[in-house]
Amino acid sequence: MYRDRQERSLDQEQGDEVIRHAAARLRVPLPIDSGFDARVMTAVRAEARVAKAGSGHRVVRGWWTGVALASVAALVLLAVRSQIGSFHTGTPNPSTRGLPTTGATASTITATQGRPGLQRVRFEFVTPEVGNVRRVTIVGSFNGWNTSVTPLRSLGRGRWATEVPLSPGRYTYQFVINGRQWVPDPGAPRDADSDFGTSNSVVTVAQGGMT
Amino acid sequence: MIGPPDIEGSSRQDEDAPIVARVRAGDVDAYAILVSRYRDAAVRYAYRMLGDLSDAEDVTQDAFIRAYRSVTRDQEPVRFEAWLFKILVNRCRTAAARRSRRRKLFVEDHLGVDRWAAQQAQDSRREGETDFEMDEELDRAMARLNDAQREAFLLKHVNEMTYEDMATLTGTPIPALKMRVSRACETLRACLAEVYHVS
Repeated sequence: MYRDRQERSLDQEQGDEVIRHAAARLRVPLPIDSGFDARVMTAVRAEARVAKAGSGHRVVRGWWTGVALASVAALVLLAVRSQIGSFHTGTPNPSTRGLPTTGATASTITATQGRPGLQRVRFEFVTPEVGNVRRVTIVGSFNGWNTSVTPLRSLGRGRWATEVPLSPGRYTYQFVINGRQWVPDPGAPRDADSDFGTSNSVVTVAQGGMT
Repeated sequence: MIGPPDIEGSSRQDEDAPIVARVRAGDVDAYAILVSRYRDAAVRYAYRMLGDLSDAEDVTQDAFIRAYRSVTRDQEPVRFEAWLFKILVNRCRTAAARRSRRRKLFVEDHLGVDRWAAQQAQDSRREGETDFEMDEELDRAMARLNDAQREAFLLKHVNEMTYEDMATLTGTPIPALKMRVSRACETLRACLAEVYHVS
């Protein structure tokens, strides 16, 4: 009896003009970001490369991770206590003027061995402003300073991370918040040369790891 | 295992199966076909569940990556679409729960509204403001549904899934799903009958 009533109700719904109209409007295509497919495939290819590299990864230079984590903890504590908006130094990057600051940030970088000649370098970005940060990407000399091809994945609670396969060499980079705000890595050394007023962060991948 | 597919589902399954086989064999680029095929429906579902286009794109991207991982490392899915949506539904639930802790309102989507409005303005088929106003009413009506009702309504009436498929991918019994859809329809009917000039 109860089930019959449910079935009759369902028939009414299916014949209901309001519901049909609403469903039709809800099926109208959305203005999805034109770079969506490329972003997904970049992440998928990175996933495939990691899988192909095998499960025999080992963390290189574990001492560096410990040092980095310690310095990051100190930076976060310092930033929170002094209510510093971000770790920008010097003249702001012209492209970020007028934008709200990101808030205290921190990052860690670790490297593991991947394919021969490549190190999988993990970049991690941490921010307490969980609600305001909706997308984080990394731009650098390793990806042509493209703001959309290397997204970080949200790990929750303001933590974002990605892994980039890099051959030995010196690279400069910054994080990009919500596609607009460029933020240097507070946990990494800065480049002495600055093209835009804000110096970039530097990571050096050596044969056996990273400095 | 997903239940008996309808005709459209069966057709899609036939089209997806050889692509999934290529991906499992190591052809990463073939996955782009599946991304292109299900991108719109997946983002649309996530957007309606989360009310934020940027969040919807992020959640959908995450679902595609997780689906790829499962396809290549675990068992071969019987139907890729159902496999993807099972992941997506769970990711949306997680995102919605996280956001509710942040007390963010469903209608608070400046980026989505801006981009939506820009598209509407460029849509030459539109005749005045009527449709836009009705869509705003529809957004408000959808926001009055609870998450479970919105999820069931979207899967049934927008994605046009069978109750069997919905039960499999949501883990909810069919009678409960029917009740949620019925309640959702009652709410939408009450909110929108006047807007759509239907008695």
